[in-house]
Amino acid sequence: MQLDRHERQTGQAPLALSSAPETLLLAHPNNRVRLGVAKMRRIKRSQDLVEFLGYSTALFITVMFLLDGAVSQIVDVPTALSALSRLTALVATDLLLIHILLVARVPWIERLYGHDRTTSAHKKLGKPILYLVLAHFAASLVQYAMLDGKNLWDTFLFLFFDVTDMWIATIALALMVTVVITSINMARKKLSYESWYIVHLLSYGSVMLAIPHQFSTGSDIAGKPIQQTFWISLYLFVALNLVWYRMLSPVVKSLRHNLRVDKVVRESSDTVSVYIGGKRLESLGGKAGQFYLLRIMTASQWFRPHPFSISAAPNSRYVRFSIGNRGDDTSLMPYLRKGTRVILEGPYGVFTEDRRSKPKVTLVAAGIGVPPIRALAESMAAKAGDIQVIYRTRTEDDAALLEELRTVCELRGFGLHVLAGARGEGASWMPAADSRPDEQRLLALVPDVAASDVFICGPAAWTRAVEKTLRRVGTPAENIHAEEFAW
Amino acid sequence: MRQTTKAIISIASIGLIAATYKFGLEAPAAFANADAIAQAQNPNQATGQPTATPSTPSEPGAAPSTPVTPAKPGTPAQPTTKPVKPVKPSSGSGSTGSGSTGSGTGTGSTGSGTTGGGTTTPVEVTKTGTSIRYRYGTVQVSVTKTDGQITAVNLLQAGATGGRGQAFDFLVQYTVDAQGSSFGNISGATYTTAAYKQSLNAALAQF
Repeated sequence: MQLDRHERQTGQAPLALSSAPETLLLAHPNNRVRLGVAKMRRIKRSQDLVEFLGYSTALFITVMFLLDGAVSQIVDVPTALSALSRLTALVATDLLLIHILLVARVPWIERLYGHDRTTSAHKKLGKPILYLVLAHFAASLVQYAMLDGKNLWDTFLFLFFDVTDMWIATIALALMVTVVITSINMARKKLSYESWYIVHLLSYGSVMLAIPHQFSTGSDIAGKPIQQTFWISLYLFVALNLVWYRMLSPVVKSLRHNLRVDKVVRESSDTVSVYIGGKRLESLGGKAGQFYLLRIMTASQWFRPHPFSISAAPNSRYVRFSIGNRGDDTSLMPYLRKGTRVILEGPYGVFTEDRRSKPKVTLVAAGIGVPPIRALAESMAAKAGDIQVIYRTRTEDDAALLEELRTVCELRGFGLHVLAGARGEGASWMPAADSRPDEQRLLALVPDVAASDVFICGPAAWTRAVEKTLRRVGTPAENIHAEEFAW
Repeated sequence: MRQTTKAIISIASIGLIAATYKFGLEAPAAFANADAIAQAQNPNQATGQPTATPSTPSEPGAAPSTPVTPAKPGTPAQPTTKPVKPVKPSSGSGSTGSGSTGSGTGTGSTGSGTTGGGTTTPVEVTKTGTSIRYRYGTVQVSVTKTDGQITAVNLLQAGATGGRGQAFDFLVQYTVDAQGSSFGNISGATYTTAAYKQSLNAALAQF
C-alpha cells in the first residue's frame, strides 16, 4: 500500500525485491591493517594522554586556587563557604567545558573512544556538574546572608539585582536545571526526542550566560591575567572544536562532495539500501564498520539526523547505507528521490579494523545489525578460513544482504554460518532448533573463536548474550568488539 | 586510563597540590603582615579607619595576589606627577571629603607640564561619578586619567560601616590595575563593591 502511494507520487515503479546484484564490485581487502598488541598499546597511550589533558585542566585551576591562598582565608563559616563557592564554581565550569567537548564530535576523541563511549561519558557528567553549580549557588547565597545578617530571599534579591552580571548568571542556572531535568525525563522516556533536543539547545545559552559573571565578579578570574588567559583559551578551544567539527565541517564536506541520493534498492521485505553518490568519494574517509549521521535535506527531515552504518566498504562510487524499516523516519527511506541532497556527519565509531589485533576474526550479526559486518567482511584482509561470519536472522529467504555476504565469503574463502529460525529458549542468542547450550554450538561453528577477534553487531540484549557466551568459551574481553544499533 | 599512568599522575598531583597548598598558606601571610604593620604604624587611628582593620574575618579575601603599582610602564615619564596614591577620608556613614591626588590634578582640570622641551606633556582629566547611596552609606568617586590611563581614583564620599571601609583601598587598587571596573568582588564587601562600581562606571562613562 505504501508502495502504491510512492508510485503515484513519483511516477516510478515500486522497488522490486532484488535477487543477487548482477555484478557485485568489491573493494580490495585492506592489506595495510597492522595486527598485534603494539597497536592497542598505542591507542591506550593516546587515551591516557587525552584523559591527562582533561584532568590537568582541573588540576591547574585547583593549583591556582590554592596558590591564591584560598585555604588560608578560611577563618569562619562565611569564609569557608566563600572558598567552597569558588572551588565548586571552578571545577563545575571546567567539567562543563569537557562535557561539551565530549559531544563536539571531535575526531581525536571519537577515534580513541568511539561515539557511544563519549556520549555515555557526556551523560554521566551532566548531573555532577549541576550539583556542583547548585553548591556554588547555595554557598554564595548563604555566605552573603550570614555576612549581612539578612534572610536568604533578601540576599538573593540583592545578588540578583545589585551585583554585576549576577542576574544573567541566575538565568543560566535556571536553564541548566531545566536541561538536566528534561534529560533525566528523556532517559525515562517521558519526553520525546524532539522536545528534549530543543530544550537541550538551551544548554548553549546556559553556558554563555554564565560567562559574564565569571569574568566580571569571579574572585578567581577577574583581574587575574594568568587565570583569565587560561579560561579564555579553554572557552575558545571548546567553542572552535564544537563549531567546526559538529556544525560546519559536515556541511562543508557534504557540499564539497556534492552528496546526493543516487538510488534506492530493496534488499528484503523491510530493508532498503540507499546509495549516496558524489564527487571524489574516495577522499571522504571512513572505514568499514563505521557509521554516519545521515541528514536528508528535505523540508521534513533536514533537522532529524539518524545514525546508519555503511554497508559496503568505502569506495569511489558510492556510500551505501542499508536501512531497516523500524516504523519511524526509516519508513520513508524507500521513497527517497534520486538527487535529494544529503549531509553526512561522520564517519564515527571504532567498530573497525583499528581494533583488530589477531589474524583470525569472527564476525557476528543479527538482523539489521548486518551492514557493518557486511562491510567489514568485504574490507578485511585474511587468509581463506581465517574469517568466519555468523548471521542470525529470522528467515533465510528474507535476510538483507545475505546474497552479498555469500558472494564475499565465496570469493575470499571465508566461512558463512546462517542461523535462521525463531528465538531460542531463555537467554539463548541462537535459533531454537538445537538443545545444546550456546557455547557448544558456537564452538561447533567456529572452533578457534577464543583465539580470534570477535565483532558483534545486533540489538543490545542479544549482543550481551553473545558477549557472555564468548567470555565463557574464553575470548578475552579486549578482543570482543560490539556495536549496538539501538542507542 | 591505565593503572600505572593513573598511579603516577595521582602521586604527582598529590605532591603538587600539597606544595601549592603550603605555598598558598604562606603567601597571603605576607599580606596579613602588611596589615599588622599598617596597624602598628597607625596605632592612634580609629578602628573604623579603612587601612588598619584586619579584624574583619572576611576581608583577607580582598588581598590582591600580586602587589600593584598604579604607574604603568607604558605611560610617559611623569616628572611632576608621582604615582598617585589616593587618600581616603575617614570612613563613616555619609561622610564626605575631597581626596587629594598627585600634584597638578583637580576636578575637571587639565594639568599641563609646561617645561617639556618639545615632548608632549601628560594630559590629566578628572571626571566625577554620581553619588550612590547604599545600605551602609554613600559612595562617590572621581577618576583621573592621564593620557587615557586611569591613574587615580578619588573617594569623594566613602561611607561604609562595620569595617567594610577597608575594602576601598583594594577597590581603588583594582580599578587602577584593571583600568576599569572589571575586577572581582571583594568578599564580605559585596554591597560596597557594587556601589563603588556604580559610581566608578558613571565617572568612566563621561570620558
